[in-house]
Amino acid sequence: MKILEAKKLKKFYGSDNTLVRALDGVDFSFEKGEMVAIVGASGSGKSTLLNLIGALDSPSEGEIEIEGRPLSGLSRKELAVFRRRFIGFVFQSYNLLPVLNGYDNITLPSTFEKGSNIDHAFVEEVIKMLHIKDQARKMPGQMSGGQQQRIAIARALVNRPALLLADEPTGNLDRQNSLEVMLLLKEVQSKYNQTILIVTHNEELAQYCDRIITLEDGKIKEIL
Amino acid sequence: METGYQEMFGMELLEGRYPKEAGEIAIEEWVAPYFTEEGLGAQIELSEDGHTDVYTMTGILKDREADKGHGQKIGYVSEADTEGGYYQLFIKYNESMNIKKLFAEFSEKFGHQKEAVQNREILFKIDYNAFNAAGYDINLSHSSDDGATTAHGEYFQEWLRGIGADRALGTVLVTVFSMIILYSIFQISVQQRVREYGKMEAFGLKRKDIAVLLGSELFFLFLAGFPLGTALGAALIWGIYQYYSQTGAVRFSASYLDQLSLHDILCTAGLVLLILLSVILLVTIQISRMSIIETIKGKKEKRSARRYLGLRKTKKTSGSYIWSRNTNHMIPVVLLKYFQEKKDRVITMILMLAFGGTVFLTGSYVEEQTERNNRLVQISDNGTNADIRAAVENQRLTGEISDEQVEKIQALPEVNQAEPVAFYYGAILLSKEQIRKNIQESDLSYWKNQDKYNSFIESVGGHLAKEGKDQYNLKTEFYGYDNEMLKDLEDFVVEGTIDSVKQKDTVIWQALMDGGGNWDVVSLHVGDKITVRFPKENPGRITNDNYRILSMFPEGEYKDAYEERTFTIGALVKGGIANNEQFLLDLDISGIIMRNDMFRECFDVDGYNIVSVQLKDQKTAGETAKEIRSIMEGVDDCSVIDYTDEIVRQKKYLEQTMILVRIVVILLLAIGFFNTLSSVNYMLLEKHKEFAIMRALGITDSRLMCTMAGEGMVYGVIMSILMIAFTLIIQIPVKYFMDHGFVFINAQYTFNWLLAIGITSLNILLSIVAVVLPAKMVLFNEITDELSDIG
Repeated sequence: MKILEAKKLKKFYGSDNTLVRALDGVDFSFEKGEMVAIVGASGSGKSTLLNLIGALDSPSEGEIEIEGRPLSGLSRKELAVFRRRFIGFVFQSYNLLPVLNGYDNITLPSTFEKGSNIDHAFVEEVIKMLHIKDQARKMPGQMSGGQQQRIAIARALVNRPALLLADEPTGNLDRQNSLEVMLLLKEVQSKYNQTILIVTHNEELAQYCDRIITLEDGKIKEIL
Repeated sequence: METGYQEMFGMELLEGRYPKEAGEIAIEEWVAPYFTEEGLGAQIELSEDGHTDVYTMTGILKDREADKGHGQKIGYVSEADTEGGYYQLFIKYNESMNIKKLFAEFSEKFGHQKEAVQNREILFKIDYNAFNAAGYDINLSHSSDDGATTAHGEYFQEWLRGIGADRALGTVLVTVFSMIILYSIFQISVQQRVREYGKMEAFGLKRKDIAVLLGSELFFLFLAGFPLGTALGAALIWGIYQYYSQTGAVRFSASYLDQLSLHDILCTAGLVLLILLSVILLVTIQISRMSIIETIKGKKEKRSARRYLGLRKTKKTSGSYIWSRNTNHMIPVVLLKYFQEKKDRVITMILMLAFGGTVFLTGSYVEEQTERNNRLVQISDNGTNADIRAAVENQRLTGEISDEQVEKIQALPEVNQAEPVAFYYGAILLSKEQIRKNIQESDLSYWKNQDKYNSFIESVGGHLAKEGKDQYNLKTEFYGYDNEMLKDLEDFVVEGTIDSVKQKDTVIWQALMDGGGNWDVVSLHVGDKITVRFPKENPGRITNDNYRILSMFPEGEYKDAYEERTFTIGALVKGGIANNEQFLLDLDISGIIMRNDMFRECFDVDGYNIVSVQLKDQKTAGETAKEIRSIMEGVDDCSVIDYTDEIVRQKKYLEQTMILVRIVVILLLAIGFFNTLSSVNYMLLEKHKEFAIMRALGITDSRLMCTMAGEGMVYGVIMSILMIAFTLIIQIPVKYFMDHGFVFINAQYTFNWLLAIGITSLNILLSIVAVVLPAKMVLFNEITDELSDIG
């Protein structure tokens, strides 16, 4: 089952002489439950691609469909709702809110939905799976980088998103923690049949993914 | 008459010229109809001590309200006609100078004792021959034009001068405005600057160079902000000066705001530069305590210190409460925590708006009481509660205005109401215990040394006399009021009820007040019996002998000429209507007010001394005054004064006072609002990345804005509660000062809930706008840009 499809995606910045083609006609699709890595050198367009898929930015041309829903034409509000319901983000610098403890950081996105209740049982389950029970009451400032990234992964899962997007999730971690995070993402994929898209420049870690898409100068160089 | 005198006393020639030759006279416009209906060139006859002088009217001067208000008819003649008179030397001094120093210099020059100077007696006790002048008088009283003395104003003004605050006020105003502008500009950019300094430091800039850089930036801000602040401050000072000059009512306040000198500006510049140097020092110290990365982030990481020292906590002691287990509304929690982090700033922000609202409500309270007081001042002092007043200005006790004349006035078609008042004089007998102790101890002992008669001593402006060991008498006036006038007294009541005078031998006691607005000089209350003494047979006219004899009784030979009678006090009032300054030569006297019928039964007086006239339409005042003048023809020394212009002027003055109060309040509210705006802006600038994270995680703009609005509303509610609490607390000292500053009202504790609700709504609205506006700005930024920022 196709969960994501990108058709002739293009993203340009600037104009005329200063025009930069960050993405220049990218086509691909992901199946549900797949774990895909996007690799490439700096400036190859991988973060731009992630921003477009995560509805944080809009393409200059082309279309993205997630679970068959095209993103084009959605209003600002609908895009926010889309991000909340369909996308889970994991950032390189974790981006936890420093004023909330681990547990509250995890549950935060589920409180954005008006009238919805937090599924505490699911939260506890994720916490258990990611081995962060001890971090639940800690503030981000009291956690290590690896612990913060696990909290961030739990936060990305809390709304059971269709797609989990991880932008350099191991970029700020040492080798041991990076490995642990990748293994955890793998566990998340298998346990929840979670589709995961990882942007990384670490080709060694990319080997843990089912497929690897290599970008170069805004174009897909190869898909392994 | 020198031109300097004309300028000092605000004289303005409307027609003709000042007298040059013997037999010429210039008079004020309102005085002219008493002598002639013809214009310039008319002959005026003035009689005194049996002989009559004839003058030719050469000039008509603009009315001066102070003279008109007191019914004081003044004419100016040429120097050739002043033989036998005396000269007065008026000195106009620089009002912004130190008055104490001036006194000291006078004292030194003329060899007077310091104590005399302090008692302000010196200025009336000059050796006439020594200085080729009949006497001189530096008028320190600054009586306001409406006739009410500003005793507190004098002392306040002197106090201000004494501490040099009169000069400092301009400096303070300009400094405040300059600092507000500099603060607004600097505060918004400071965090950004600190970050930039961090980046520069990363590139090799030394920290001492940062101080120079910061200093340069602040100096350029100073160059831009100071002239603007000076201009705003100067505009405010100019506005206040213009305001006071135009109303001419509270001159003492304008005197030290008259101009903004170069000296003030230079002082202010020095002060502002000093403050800026302190800012540079503080920011440099702050930056020097931060690591480069902290500087780049624009904030100090608390955990860094622990990390460096190897003291990382393994168990948290704070922040461990899990909010989301108990609420699904986490965004307000996040915002609350953000504001908690900046609680000093938030508290300042809340206090600023609460203060603005407090000033507004207090201003409204003061306005309400001031309006009441002004109305009572009008009613009481100069009779301007009446559109027109006919008053006999002599010391005759027979009541020159007859019932028939009052009826004729009442019958005039333009007249709505004519209220006559009758007067008599006498004294109240008091025991020692009834006189306030400090009056006995200070004033009486002071006057004891000045006693000319040896048989008694006097105090309270000469009205209180000691006539036996523990026996005092207080000279007083008796007033006969009609029912309508008694109703008008309601607002003056401090104790009891006006209706009580319907009972037999029950009167109203018009309390005696000291210069400080205290009406407890004599302890008399509702229910007390008072014994009054008055001439048994109407002597026809008050003379100095009558006046003195009243005090010398009972030892004197006139004992049988006086009668004593006892009344019960039914009400106590802080002032009366239509006081008579002719009998005891003073408005600040006590009085016994009774019904007209009772007055006539007690005293041998058939007529009235004053008739206050209310018109149906004030536009008819001029014509009606003429008709009343004609009715009063034959009544000696009767002035008929049209107060309609004065009423308009006083109303305008009150309105202008309130406009000034409101401008100050609006300024405070505006400063509070911009402070809130800038504080929230500053906080959001710091938290822009966290907001971007929440937006990336799926919070909608509208949800965020609603939450921010809710946050603003909470601040609005908190500041409104504080505002109401502050207002109620501040009302206590304000009431005290009004009770003592306003002569006639007994200020009430009141709270205008309707206005409070209005200000609360405005506070809430301002808070919401102040919070929502910067939040809205945050939403304009792209999420991807915000997330890609360093840190």
